[in-house]
Amino acid sequence: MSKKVLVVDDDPDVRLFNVTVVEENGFTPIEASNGEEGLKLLKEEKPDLVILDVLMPRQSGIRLFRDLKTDKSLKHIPVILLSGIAKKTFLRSQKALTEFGGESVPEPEIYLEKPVEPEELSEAINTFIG
Amino acid sequence: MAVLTISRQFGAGGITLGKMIADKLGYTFADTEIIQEIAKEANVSPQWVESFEKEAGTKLSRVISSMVSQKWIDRVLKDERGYLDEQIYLDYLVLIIAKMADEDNVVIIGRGSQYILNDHPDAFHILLVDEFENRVKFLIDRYRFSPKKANQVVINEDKRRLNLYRKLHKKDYDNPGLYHLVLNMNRIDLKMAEKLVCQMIGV
Repeated sequence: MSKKVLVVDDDPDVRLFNVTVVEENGFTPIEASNGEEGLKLLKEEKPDLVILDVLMPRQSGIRLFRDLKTDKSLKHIPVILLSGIAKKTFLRSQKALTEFGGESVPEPEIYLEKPVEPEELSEAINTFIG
Repeated sequence: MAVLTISRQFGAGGITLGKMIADKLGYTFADTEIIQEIAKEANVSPQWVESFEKEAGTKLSRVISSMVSQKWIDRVLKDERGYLDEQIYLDYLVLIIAKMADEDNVVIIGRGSQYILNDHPDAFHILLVDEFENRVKFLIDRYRFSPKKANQVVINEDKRRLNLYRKLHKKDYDNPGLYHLVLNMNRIDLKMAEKLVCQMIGV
């Protein structure tokens, strides 16, 4: 059975792009359109990798990422953050959330800034589950 | 090229000074813009974010957060596609302030920005303080509030500020050590404050 990759993005076009790249690499995609749905699937499906957008309505990728990395049963799952937000901006926001009483979380395993080429995403996926 | 954060005791003239500096330097003035951005990203109305900020950290908002289920909110707020709670608000707030700072040339009003951008290389943090009576008078003069209303607004806003920072686990927001420049508006006027800020950032 092929490994499972959870793709979380509110933009259907980006989701389709990510899902296609996942399938082309021989893995099974699972789709969610927001962080809330993503967290539910994360717990149910226990995927081998998560490709996650940052800015989404309802539960954002920020919250999903922090929930995942502070959950004992989930925190081993690698995360590729894929966002239009610059990496340094994201990391600063994470530091602030920790300073404001949140739990400390590690940096995402890989952070890719949109737009991303299929080869770049493939390489990132295969770094963890290839 | 700078990022200015302005923290202030309510009625000390922080917004007025921020606008003056932003106008003079051609910087973005980020106050209600932050509300707009949070609303956009959370997919809720700006009014929701605004009312949320007004209630930030109060007992009422804590009680509501603990009692109300999201399903119930979904039913009541059918026209809102997104959702906002204290955590979602904070997640977006820190990200949007960090993003605005990275875009540079911006004056950011309050909302914990002095902490969020504490180690930002281009950020200058400013605090405005003033006596209670002067802050009341500022509201009467600038916004034509009645003395009674101005008095009550300053008391309420001081409480709100305390609640907000308590929510952020911060107590030292008036500690001069957090800031590049602390302006005692009891001693200087807005023109002088503007001059000092411009000197500090070298323009």
